[in-house]
Amino acid sequence: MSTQTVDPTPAAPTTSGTWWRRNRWALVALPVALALALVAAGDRVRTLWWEQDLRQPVTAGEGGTAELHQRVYDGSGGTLPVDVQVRLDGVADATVLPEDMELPTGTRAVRVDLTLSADPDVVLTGCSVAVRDASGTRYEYVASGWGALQSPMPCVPEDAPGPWPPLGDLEDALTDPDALPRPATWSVSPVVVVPDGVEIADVVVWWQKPRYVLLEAAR
Amino acid sequence: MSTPDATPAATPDTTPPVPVAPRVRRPTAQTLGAGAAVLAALAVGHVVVTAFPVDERVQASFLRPAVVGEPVELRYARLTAGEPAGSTVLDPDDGSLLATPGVWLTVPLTIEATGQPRALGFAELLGGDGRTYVVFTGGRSWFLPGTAQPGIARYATLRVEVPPEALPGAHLRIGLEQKDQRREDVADIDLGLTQADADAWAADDTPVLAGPQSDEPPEQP
Repeated sequence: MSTQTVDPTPAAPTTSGTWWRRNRWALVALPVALALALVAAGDRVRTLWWEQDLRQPVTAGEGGTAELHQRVYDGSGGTLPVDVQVRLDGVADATVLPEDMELPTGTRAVRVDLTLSADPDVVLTGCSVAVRDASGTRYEYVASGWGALQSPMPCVPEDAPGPWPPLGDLEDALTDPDALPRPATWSVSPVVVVPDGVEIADVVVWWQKPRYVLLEAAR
Repeated sequence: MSTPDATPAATPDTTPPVPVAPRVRRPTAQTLGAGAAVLAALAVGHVVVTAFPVDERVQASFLRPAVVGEPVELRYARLTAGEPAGSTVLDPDDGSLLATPGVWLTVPLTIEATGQPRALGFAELLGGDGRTYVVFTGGRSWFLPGTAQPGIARYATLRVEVPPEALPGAHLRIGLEQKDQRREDVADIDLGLTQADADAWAADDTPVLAGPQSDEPPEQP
């Protein structure tokens, strides 16, 4: 017979409470691990869903002016602040169409009058404008469409758009030293083409989804 | 039974006895059983995952069948395919003509976006020969309708260069994203083409027109 060399061990636990005590730290860690697994598996919810549509409205306060404060991706790994005030002065049928615009049958053009205020050093070039009807259907401003070429930057003055997002090594070569500074307050009037019969309920302005400025149109 | 100290004491030795490592324990039947159970669970899971096409079914596109002339409602747009045409010569309406040893197939499409502006970017032809013919921008086969504003119909002509044997029974698939159609609506349009169409078009050198995309309906010939 061989002699066993293992230490004498205490009798195997027989009460159920002992198992819980022996595994107590694993049991504590389990919900934490589950939560971490869910967070890790959901990392794309933000980039593939949340940031793909307009979800966080900033509405106008007193005087009909909305204040947007947001940090937006600058395209080169960093972020830029967007700090701007936007006011809707009116939405009306465009009496004068942009040059060369030809409206398709069954459509009309509406002019969106906006007044914006921001520090001259805030980058505001990459903005989008749209009008919506009561059901939430969005009709966007199209810079190049229906034969016309409107400004690709509908929220800033065309002749003084202010600073651009960083361009890396090309910054010096492409920056115009004689560019006019953007005024502190300015007005723009982009023209949006919508189907006939659409009643404009609100105007939305955004620099980067999901945050947007929501301005209700006067009825 | 087990003795706490198994070292023989008869041999005189000044060195202390080598202590038995207290941590080394032989796996018990219970441990081996648990290991086997884990392996068995992994094996069963593998069999379940591979035996049933779960991933494919979860990620599959929602195919919306349609025929020529019948509007198909997609999550993002309403799409109508017009009468297909074909020839060995294509007129892209830019002053040039493109010839092919196969057949140029053109399909006029009407796109009405819903909810927000949409730019349809995916198209492919499932040929009757079992092959898939990719239609991508930048190649000779081409579909770039531009952005459709809701409520304002957009007209675009898709063109694809295929061998004649791909035409009978061909289906056209149109979707939103060029790179990803998983879990997304995709129109699956039966073009209703026959061997007679393929033979006629393969022998025809009258240029077939594929004009630019527009918000105005194309002029009827």
